[in-house]
Amino acid sequence: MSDSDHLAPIEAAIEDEGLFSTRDDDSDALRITFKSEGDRYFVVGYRDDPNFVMIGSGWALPQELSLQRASAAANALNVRKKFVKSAIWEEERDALFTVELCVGDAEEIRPHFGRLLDALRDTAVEFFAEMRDEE
Amino acid sequence: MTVREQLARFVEEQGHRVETARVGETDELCELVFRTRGQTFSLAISELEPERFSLSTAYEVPETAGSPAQIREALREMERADPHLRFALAHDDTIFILTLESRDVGVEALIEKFWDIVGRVRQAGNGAVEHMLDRSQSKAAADKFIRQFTKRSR
Repeated sequence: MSDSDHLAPIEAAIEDEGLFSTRDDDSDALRITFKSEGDRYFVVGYRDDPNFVMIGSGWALPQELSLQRASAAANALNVRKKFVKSAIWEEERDALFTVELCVGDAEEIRPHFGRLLDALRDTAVEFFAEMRDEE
Repeated sequence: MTVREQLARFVEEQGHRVETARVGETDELCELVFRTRGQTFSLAISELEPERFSLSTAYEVPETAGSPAQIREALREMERADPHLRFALAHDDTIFILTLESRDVGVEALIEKFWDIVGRVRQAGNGAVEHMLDRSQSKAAADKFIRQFTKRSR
């Protein structure tokens, strides 16, 4: 297990974007949460796997929305979108949008962080637009 | 709470760092500077006229955007399309500053529509850059066509 903070470059990237962030680390995982334009995002890393970084956002699905429709829309986005994995967490009725990366050093992500954030944001916007269109 | 404090608190609660800069000698005019989606914005507000604000951001003029006259004409066209927007070239015409001015939006309404307004300015800025490139490309294409056309025997 490593004591090093391999998410520090991501924290710096969030600051580069002009955003506040908070840390919530424990003995297993490193976690950063932040907001952009009022929407919440998270970054997760594991101490025993410093090459893995996940950036994501989660959204509650409206009660009236069919999970089958939501899963179909998420699947269609997975076929089409770069970087972002869309998933429906059925038990919680949440839509999750994540970017999962394998890096030698999280510093590699820093110059591309804005692009990845845009990709996450755009995917969520497209998902909910698709849901509205189907209503 | 002052208008400045209300707006700065809102933007910070939305997750963004805010710098406040006083404009001039008094406390009544100030600018709130924040970043979103890689772009820096400045919101100018007045405590004396809380219904009035202006939101500005700057874009680089693309190197292939054509002559200064073409760029000015492209920006004038964008202004004609939306009279609330003002475009100004600066730094030897290497950047343009885009400002949205409003005189009749209260603080609560501004807060409610804040990111839509920021999005509108961003969209207009991106649109202006695209418009400049379109104009320069179509101008180049038109020039080529005219040259070819006038070489033909009539």
